[in-house]
Amino acid sequence: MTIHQANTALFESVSEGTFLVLPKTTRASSTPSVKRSKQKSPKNDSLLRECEGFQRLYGGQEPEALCRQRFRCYKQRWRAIEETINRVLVKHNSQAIDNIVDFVNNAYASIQCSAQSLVLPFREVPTGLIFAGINIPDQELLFSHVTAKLTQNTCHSVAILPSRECLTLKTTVKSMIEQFLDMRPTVAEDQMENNNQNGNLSSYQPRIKAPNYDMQILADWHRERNSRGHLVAIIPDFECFDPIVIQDLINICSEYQGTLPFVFIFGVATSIEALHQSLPRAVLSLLRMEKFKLQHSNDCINAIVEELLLKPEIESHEGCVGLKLALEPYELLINSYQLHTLSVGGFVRALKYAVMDYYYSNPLSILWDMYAADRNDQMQDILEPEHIIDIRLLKSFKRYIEAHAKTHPDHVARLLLNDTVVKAWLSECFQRIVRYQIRYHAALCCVLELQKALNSPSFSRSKRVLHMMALQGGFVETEYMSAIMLLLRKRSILETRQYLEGCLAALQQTNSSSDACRLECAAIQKLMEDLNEFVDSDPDSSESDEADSYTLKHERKRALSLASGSRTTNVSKRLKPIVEHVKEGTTQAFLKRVSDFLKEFLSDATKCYKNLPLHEVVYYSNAARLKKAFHPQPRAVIQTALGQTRHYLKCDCCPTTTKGDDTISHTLQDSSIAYRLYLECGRMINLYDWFVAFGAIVEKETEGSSLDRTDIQARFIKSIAELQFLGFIKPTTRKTDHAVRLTWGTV
Amino acid sequence: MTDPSFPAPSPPPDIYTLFPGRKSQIDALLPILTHPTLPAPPTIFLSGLPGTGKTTLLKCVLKDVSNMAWVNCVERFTERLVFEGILRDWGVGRRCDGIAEFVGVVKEMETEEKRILVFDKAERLRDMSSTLLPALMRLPELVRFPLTIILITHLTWPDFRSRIGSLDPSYTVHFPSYTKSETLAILAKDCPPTEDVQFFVSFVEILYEVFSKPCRDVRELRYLVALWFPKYVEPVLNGKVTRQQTSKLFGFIQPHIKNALHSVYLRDVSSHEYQKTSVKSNHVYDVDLPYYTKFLLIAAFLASYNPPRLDVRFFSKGDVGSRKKKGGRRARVSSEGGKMRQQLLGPKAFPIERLLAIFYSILENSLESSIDIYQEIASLVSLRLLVRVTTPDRLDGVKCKCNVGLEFVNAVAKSVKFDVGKYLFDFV
Repeated sequence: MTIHQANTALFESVSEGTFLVLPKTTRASSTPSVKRSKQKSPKNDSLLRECEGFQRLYGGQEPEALCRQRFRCYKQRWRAIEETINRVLVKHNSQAIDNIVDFVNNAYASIQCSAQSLVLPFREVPTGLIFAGINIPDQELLFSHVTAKLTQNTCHSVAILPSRECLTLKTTVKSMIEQFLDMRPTVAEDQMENNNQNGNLSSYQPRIKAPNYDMQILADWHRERNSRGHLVAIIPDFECFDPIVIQDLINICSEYQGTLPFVFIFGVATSIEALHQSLPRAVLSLLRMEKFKLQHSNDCINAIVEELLLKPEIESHEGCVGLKLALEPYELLINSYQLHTLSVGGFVRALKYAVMDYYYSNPLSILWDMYAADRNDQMQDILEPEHIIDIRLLKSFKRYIEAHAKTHPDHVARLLLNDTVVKAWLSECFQRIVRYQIRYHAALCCVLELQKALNSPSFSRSKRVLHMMALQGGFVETEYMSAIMLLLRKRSILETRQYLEGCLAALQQTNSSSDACRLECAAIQKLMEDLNEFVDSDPDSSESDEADSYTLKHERKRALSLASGSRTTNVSKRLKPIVEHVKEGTTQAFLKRVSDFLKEFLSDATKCYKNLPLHEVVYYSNAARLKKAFHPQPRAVIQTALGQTRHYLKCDCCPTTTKGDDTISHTLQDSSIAYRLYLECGRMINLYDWFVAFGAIVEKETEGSSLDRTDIQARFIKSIAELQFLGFIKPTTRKTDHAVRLTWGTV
Repeated sequence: MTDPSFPAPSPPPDIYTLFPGRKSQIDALLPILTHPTLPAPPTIFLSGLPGTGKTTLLKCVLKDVSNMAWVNCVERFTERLVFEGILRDWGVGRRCDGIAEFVGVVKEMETEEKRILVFDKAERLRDMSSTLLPALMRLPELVRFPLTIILITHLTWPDFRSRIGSLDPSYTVHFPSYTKSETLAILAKDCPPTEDVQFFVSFVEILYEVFSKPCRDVRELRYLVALWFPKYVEPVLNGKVTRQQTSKLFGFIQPHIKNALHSVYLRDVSSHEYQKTSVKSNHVYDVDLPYYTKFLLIAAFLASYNPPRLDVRFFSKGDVGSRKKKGGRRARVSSEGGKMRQQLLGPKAFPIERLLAIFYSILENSLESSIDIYQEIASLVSLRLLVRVTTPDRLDGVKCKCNVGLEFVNAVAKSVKFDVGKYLFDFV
């Protein structure tokens, strides 16, 4: 275990209980690490406050400047990540937002222009339904964008009516009117009011003060305002709204529709069914609904993964954007998104926590940032001996040493003994990692190109999935990869050329990537030259193309069955002889060259990150901490706490559970004794029996002389009250003096 | 009303043609309400189903009447709004909080003119304070000027009696539903000016024949006519058929109408969208849920539609002995005739523990119980896919109902490759 891991273990306990430790002066000393550091100086407290709880690692021996730097880096990197995320989200939904704004702008115009084709016997309130996916909290950002857009360019007034603020019709109407009236007046209106002299807000208020939920106020205000803007009422969470309130609101608004140009925008999380369920037909007929579909959150996540987790972190030395996640945290984040929440917000929160923890618990984290900012010289100055020890304790360092011990014994010896050599070696390693990341990204792009070339839905995987496969290691050997490689060899020459062009473009998408993949680019260019030659020299190739496409279907089927894993061995046995004996100068031979090249490139570029020395510094891997923070298991925690008091309380007098004896020790905590007795009971628990058993155990404490009965009773009552609070028992009326057990069996 | 000493004001000639089939109602209301001196009954009660023209007709009748206050009781949802609205209409702008204050103000009004007070959607008045309606009914007796109070509602008088007591309205006008010929006459009035009336009427008749079963609401029919007529007339304008070839025209419109029959009232394709493209209404359940949430929903559905006593049979793992029993059950179910099938009775409430037990048993792989599952249940409730039966402040013993239909669950189950039918008591 490395030092920093040992260090951070102090913050972990067996339980998954969450403790909020505020960095207050009085409370700071109670955190274990600070206690240990024996430096309870006020300086440390101010550091804690300033850095929002970032602590000096190495048992408090870390220089303060470095602690501050870690905090600064965290802030800086998170800001960059957040900007990227917002950009991605806005970009993904910009089309939908524009559509919504257009809809609002033309909400009333369309009625007039289409008058000749269709005259409706009555007016309907234009209503935009935004199907935004099931995550209501995620949509706040979207609605704020919509609001900003609506108020910015045009003079629409917008009122957002979230369900939590609109429990009754009165509060709803009031909140709506207030939001409409609080709009900043337009310039023209300002001038008009100046001319009026007395033109303040009261100009549009009636002589008597009407109650603030009277629609008349709104009507008067609108008449005074004399603007062409529409009144847009946004209900972001339609499902949560009280149906009665919303019905009345729609009724009222449509009543005023002659004078007030209302437009509704509903955020619907499920489907239009929700509307049909909560609105009667009389109300439905008042709405002219138009639907807007937002980009699915899957696409957003894919884009975020691509931007933040996949792309090389360091481009053009402007600092890091994104965070490289190791396999386990990535798996956790993606699984929790895919299987549990589908929430972009949740994903982003977990990512933020990961970024925070990366800097919070790892003293080496600053190295990568300093390398990114091109401050190598400085990096060598600030490193403390502890850092160097830490680096030497890294698993990847050990592996590097073992691998090079034979070939370069001098270099290895110097690395182990000389600190300055290690410092120099750092930047070399980082350079390698950067190169690896660039090539890795380019390689995944190539695989995507390959998918595009194959154009088969059964083989299309998103980058998110490919990344997961690649992180697991052995990417080229996966069934999926071997299947699509096989398919590639069945393509026609022309398609292969297109594919190679695509690959080349993918490799040369940025300067750094074409730099890092120089050899591969050259190889592809060579391949393409040969290909052109080959096509020119062999006019029959077009015929063979046809033959190829004829067999293509058949082959694809085979490859499919290969991918699905059934009959793998049979198929591969049957295919191998065909594949290996190809004549030189045929299409087959050329395609084999292409696929061999690709295989070689991919296996090099997508090798597991764990093979890189110092990968621990760059790749965040503490999935357990994320799991603890975002997926706690309350019941398991309580059971551990009561059952394994030794670990939970860090108490040495509590018996270990591993011995296997069933006797309940009197040294246990009272609630724990009660809990263990509880485990032995059936569904109904007789309180008196429980009490007697409890008393029998507790009395052992005093070794013979009996305890006061009322004392025991008090302690017993206290502990079963605790169990009741924790949800283990419940009082019942079915049987006197009994409590009902609530948890299932002995789970 | 034909007393020569009170010459009735000549009705606007077009009001009868404007409201086909409402002659008796117009005759009953028009003279007494519009005559400047003729005393009107103190309370008038207009009742009739929605969409029978009560509000529109009365508005038309009272078009030129001054001193009229119109209160829409949905919009004026508190007493204060009601009274201040009335007073504003009568030219008295002041604050007025309750019926007592209102009566005081009205009593002091120095006027001899006849006034009319209309409460549209008057059923809402019953939800306000219990003294409001009786007081309003008595109001004409208390004021100095002739006052008429008109209540418009889709309910009948007995529905009001529990609130008002034995004080019956002095005059009741009932608005019966329109007959077929009346409906057709109304629909024919929507004929575009450029169109041949005969041709339009023939279309309206077709439409009425098709839709009269599910929908007699004149408003909805007018909407449908407006929506489909352009489609109907399209082949004519394109020159494909002539206006006389009705059967051919019907052939063209039939698929559209068939489609629309499924979604009468639903408006899932709005008039505007309909114009832009010929969008077909599709009932695709494209609600995308996370993987485990889908299973939770399926579990909830099973819990709602299966009797709890059979849970052991369906969900206990590795039970071989129940094979025989199954056969016996099936026979019994079919002999019951399936009338009491849960699918027909609707969902039953179930405790959340049962939902979780079923959930863990239908999952193929085991899953650690973590806070996520509870969060997902909560979000299902907030999406109204589950409905909580117990009150929100009760934290233990929460009971829920599943709020989605079989079709929806089938679609969800299909997406996770799960066979719901195998576990449903009604279909086994």
